[in-house]
Amino acid sequence: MRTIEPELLMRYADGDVSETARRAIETMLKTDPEASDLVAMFRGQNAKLRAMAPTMDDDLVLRRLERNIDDALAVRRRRRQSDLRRWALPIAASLVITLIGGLISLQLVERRVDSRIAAFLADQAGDQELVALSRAEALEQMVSGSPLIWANERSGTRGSITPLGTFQASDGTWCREYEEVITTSTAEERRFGIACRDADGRWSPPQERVRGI
Amino acid sequence: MAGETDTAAERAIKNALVILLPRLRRFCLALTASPADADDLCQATCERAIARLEQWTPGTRLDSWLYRIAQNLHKNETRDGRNRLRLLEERMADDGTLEDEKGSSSDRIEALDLKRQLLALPQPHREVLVLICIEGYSYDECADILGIPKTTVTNRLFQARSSLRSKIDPDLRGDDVAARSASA
Repeated sequence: MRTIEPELLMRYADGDVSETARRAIETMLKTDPEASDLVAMFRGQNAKLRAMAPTMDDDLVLRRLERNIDDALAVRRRRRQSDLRRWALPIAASLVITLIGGLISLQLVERRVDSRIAAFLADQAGDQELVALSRAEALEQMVSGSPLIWANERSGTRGSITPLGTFQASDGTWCREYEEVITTSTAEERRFGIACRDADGRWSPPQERVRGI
Repeated sequence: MAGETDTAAERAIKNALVILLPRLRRFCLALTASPADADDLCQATCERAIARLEQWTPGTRLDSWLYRIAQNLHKNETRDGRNRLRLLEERMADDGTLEDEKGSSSDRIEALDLKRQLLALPQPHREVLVLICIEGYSYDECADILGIPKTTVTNRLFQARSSLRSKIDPDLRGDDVAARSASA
């Protein structure tokens, strides 16, 4: 009969084994009373040690340590404020210089902002294009339940499309239900949809097809 | 005011520190094995953490960072040989005081005895026992906190558990489980 290493039994008792190992050990434990006693002993040790933990604590000490945290935070705040006072004059001077410089370069900046807005809009358009492309690919290629993941490196937006199920409409066209997740730097959008496949392999929402007829 | 934006962050840090304080104090006790030194070490750790708050990366674990500070401070403390002798003497003196608590229930006596056993173990054994068995960290987390390989954690924990068992065995003789596993 195979016996289980005591060290492995300890890891099992502490939950440090993989799911498959756990199942294998549990089967072996059924026919190995000595091993299961050892597991019980390790667990008993854990329980005893955890029950002992409060005797390691000292409420008075913990309260004193909490007050020390307050003190240390106060010291830190004072130090930072005095730092600020020391830097106040140089900062004010540099502010004036920046302001003058700013007025001069205001027009330049404005133009730069314009171009950034344009880039932002282009990024957004890029996102929408990627959503449409990925959706078409996912619905055409992926089995239900497995997601297709995409990411737009330019905008930082990423997303996934997961077909959830497939069914045949009364007119014989194939339709699929899907879940879409789109994550931008500020928000996460999750939505569900249904799309049906036309003869050319284009996937579109059912109502559009109705309108098309 | 200069501190306006700081106060929210400070409050968050304070709350986090207060919540972690009992754990940190127990870890310091595992490092020092002396309550008085654990208090000092714990206080020094909090002070250093607050003074160097900029060095903590938000989003990473605050507890691991605090444990690491405590370990570094402790290492610097004990490098001094004279200090080590003083620590040893203190520990010897501490040993007796734990036993004569009056009006203790048998559970409490057992707990105090176990605490004495734990503090009598070598530092590497105390550390893993406290982090894994008491605080409930995984072997991987423990390896990360202590900066040692996971296999070392497993070996140390096994040794620590074995010596703890051989020490508390006389008390557990009546306990069916312990008696049988001891004979195994």
